[in-house]
Parts: sequence; structure tokens; C-alpha cells
Amino acid sequence: MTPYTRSTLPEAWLLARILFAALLALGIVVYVLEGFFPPLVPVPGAKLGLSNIVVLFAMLFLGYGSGILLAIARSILGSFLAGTLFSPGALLSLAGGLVSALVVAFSLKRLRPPLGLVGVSILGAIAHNVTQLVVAYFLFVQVAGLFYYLPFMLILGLISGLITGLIAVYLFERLGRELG
Amino acid sequence: MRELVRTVRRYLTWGDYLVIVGVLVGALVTIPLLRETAQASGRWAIVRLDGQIVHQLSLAKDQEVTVVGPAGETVIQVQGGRVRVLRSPGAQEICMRQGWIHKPGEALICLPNHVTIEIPGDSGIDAISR
Repeated sequence: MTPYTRSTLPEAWLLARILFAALLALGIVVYVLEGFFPPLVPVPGAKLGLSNIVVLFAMLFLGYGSGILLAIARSILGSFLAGTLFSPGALLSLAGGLVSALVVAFSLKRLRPPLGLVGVSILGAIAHNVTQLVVAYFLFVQVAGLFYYLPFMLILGLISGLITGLIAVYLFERLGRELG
Repeated sequence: MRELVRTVRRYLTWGDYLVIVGVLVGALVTIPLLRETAQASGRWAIVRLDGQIVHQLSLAKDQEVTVVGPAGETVIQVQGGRVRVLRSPGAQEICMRQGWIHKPGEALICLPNHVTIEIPGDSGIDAISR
């Protein structure tokens, strides 16, 4: 994906690393700040996943590997700063973030077009929610009733993916204009 | 407002619409599962006589059963996913006056006749993740 490496184009490589670090910092801040807001819907832990916009950006500008790495680092460092590291919730968040990043990378590469960023974002959000359900089932509560949350998870993923996707398209379009 | 709608529509490709419709259909298809589990948690009533299980009543089926205990006959009625004691010997008629029960963890106890009816399960909250 990236046309440069450390040896072929050191300046570009260095810039990419710096951009990665800056994006990671941004992603962590968004992740932690978002956790402070009261939930928009009365479901524990439900949130928009705004930091996934940063992951999406990293995938497009730095490559899929960087995006996936950023998603993992964001979940670990974000949970650390939020004080929830090593809690069950942090594990769910990490698993959800990882699988979601893989799904987003795949759909960016193979399903776009026909999908746009909004569709990719929805798929990512749903992958995040469903992964959490599956992990919660195998690690914590082996109650089949857990899967009856699936319709809720699908709808919540649809809404949050739609909103973050639209914000992402808007942002990237603005950014494209600014950069010329 | 029209400006906003136009912008949003410009942002969406036909593939995006396909995903949205697909998810909505998926959610609609899985909602029946949800309703089923809401009933499944309180699907059974366990009837005991002197602590021994004598009946396991499905709350999904309307029915009446009679248990013969030391003081006489206790008639238990299941209707519309709920259960109550219709008749039972005893001066105070406490279990009859309790009326219908349907939630997991609820119980009817007819002390004079040594009969208990219990809906197993508990309705605790699990965990919070973020």
C-alpha cells in the first residue's frame, strides 16, 4: 500500500510515523472523552465510537496495517487512561476494536466501491458490537439469552456507524479541499 | 434542513443504502428471538409438595392441575403466561389472595397444604462495559 519504506524514502517514512503518533494521541483523547459523556441511549456502555473516525483516517492515509495497529493501541492506552484497564469491559473493548478494524480494512479494500465510507463505518460498528457479545458469551456469561441482544446491537451499530461515517465523509472532504 | 438532507444523500453510495437496508432486515428477523427469550426466562413454574417436585408447568400453555396434599386439593391455574392458585384448603387463603405471578423469582406458597409454586431464575443485572 505505502510506496515508501525507511530505506527508499526516509522523509516520507518519518512523516508517516509522526502522523501515526499524532493520530494515536487524537484517537485516545476522543476515546477517553467520549467515555465521560452520559450514554445517549439507556444501554450500558453504548457510545458513538467517534475515535473510529481516526482509525478510518489512518487506514486511508497510512495504510491498513497502521490503521489496525492504531485501533489496538487506542483501545489499550485509552482503557489505561480511563482507569478501566484489566476490567472485563476493557477486554471487550479491545476485542471489539480489533475485529472492527479488520472488518473495516477488508471492506475498504474489497467492498469499496460499491460501498462508501458510511457503509464501511456501519459494518465496522456492527462488527464491534457483535464481537463484544461473542466474547462476553465465551469469557463471562454463558447464557444463550445474551444473543437476544443481537437486534439491539445491530440497530445501535447502524445508528452509530451511520453518524460516525457521515462525520468521516464530511471531515475527509473538507480536509481534501484544504490540502488542495 | 433540505440542505442537510441533500448533503447526507450525496455522502451515501448505493452500496451504503444496501448495507442500511440489510441491517434493518437483519434486526427485524432477529427481534422474534428477543421476544421469545423474554418469555423463556419465566417459561416454567415448578410445583412442589413437601419440597418434592410434582409438576413442571409450562407457562406457554393454559392449563389447570390439581395437587393433593395433607389438607386437601390445591388447584393451580396457568393462563396467558401467568400462574395462580385457584383453590386451596386453609383458613386464611393467603396463596389465593396473592393472585397471579409470572416473573422469575416469584413464588406462591400454600402452607396448610405443603404446596409451593415457584418460577425459577433471577432477574439480576449483569455488568457494565465501556
